Amino acid sequence: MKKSTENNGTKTNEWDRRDFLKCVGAWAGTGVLLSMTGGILTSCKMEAAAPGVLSFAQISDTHIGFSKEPNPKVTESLQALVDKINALPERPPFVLHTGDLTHLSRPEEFDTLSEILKGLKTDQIFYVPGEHDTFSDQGTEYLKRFGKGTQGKGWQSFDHNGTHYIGLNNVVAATSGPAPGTFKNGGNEGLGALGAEQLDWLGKDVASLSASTPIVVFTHVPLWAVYPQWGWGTEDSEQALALLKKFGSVTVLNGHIHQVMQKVEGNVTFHTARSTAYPQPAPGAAPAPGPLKDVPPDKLGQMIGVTQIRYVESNKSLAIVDSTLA
Amino acid sequence: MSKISNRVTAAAVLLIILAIILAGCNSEKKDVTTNADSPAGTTAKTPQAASPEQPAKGEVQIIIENFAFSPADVTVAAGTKVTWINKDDAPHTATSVDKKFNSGGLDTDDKFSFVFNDKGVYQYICTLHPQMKGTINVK
Repeated sequence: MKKSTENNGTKTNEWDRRDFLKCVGAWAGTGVLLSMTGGILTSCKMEAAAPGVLSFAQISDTHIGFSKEPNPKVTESLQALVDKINALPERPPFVLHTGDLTHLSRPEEFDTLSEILKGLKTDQIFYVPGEHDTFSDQGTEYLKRFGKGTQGKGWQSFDHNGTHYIGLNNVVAATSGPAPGTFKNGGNEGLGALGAEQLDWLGKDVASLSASTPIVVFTHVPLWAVYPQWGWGTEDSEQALALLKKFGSVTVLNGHIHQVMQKVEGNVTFHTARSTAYPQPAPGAAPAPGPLKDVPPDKLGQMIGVTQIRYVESNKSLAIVDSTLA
Repeated sequence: MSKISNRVTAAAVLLIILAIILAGCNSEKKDVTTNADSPAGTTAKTPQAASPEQPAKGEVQIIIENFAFSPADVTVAAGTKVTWINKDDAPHTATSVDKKFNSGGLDTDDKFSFVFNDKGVYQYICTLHPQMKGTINVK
């Protein structure tokens, strides 16, 4: 039995844990279910699939064009993970790609990615760029292929089943090229950035939504300071989050760091996905955030993967399930 | 003094004189690249180390490693060719903030060269990782 209390404008949901477990679906036995609602993080094993549960998938950091250790065959890994998504009992209505589609933003890399994802069984794929997609030509090739239906430098929003999804480009600096002023000011410290134009659009985009609308934000670089020394953060994320303050449930899905991390702050749940290509070191565990080397070939599969997000009707929350290749 | 000791001393002096003569002949001929069209890597030249006090001539190498340009601050004479070499596992760029030069994406072991004919201060970053900064001072 669910009780709901309102206190100073914030809603508190108390929910029965057994009911929650019954409603949760399964993922081929290799994932861990994490549910975050009202600031409570719980972890539980998966039960058998429940019919009619909305779920969508997130893939990230496919890095087509990368061919070094620890994974010289990123296209094969991606294909295997596409097969995994296709094997789900429920076909996801859409899939989110949280950026770094390619490694060097070359046309042939974009071609290969699109070719592989043609085999993904879903109705639509929504993309946001990573810095690897935009750095070499200020986003020209990326926007040519994935800019349709987006605003500005590739941001967009859409609604699905009452949830509002917002895709942001927080590698705007890479998409615009270096600005003369930034160097002098000690400027860009390698963090992600949204920029004034996009923040303005965001404010207008959510202005008319009711506070009870669940929000999902997907963007490449984490919207919280995971490890700024390595560029793992977004310099104007606070301004974006301020615009979303009124909402009772905000889920932020990111990539960029090639490992799973999460954080809950009030009504906001932040989560980063693994890469489908290669892992990166934990914050500060290496001199720099390059590909993690010294990974035994039989361990690689445990360090790359995809993410499934399910809407849990019983407590109106989103459950995030990370799954690895092996 | 014995005769042997005299001979040893004489031999030592001769050796010293010989060493001085040889040292004088040993100075390298320096090539200065002035032609902006000269292709990279056609002759094996030893890169000159750059120092803040003394502008380097000829060629200068900057290694990109561990997400940093090394050396990050370089002073060169006008006409010097600067070559960046990426030794990292991640790709990088060397892109000037005022659009004077741009290496494009450099994968591991890729190189990019630029001849600095005009005096000035050239600030540059890696567009993938803008915390990586460098300066070329051309005198």
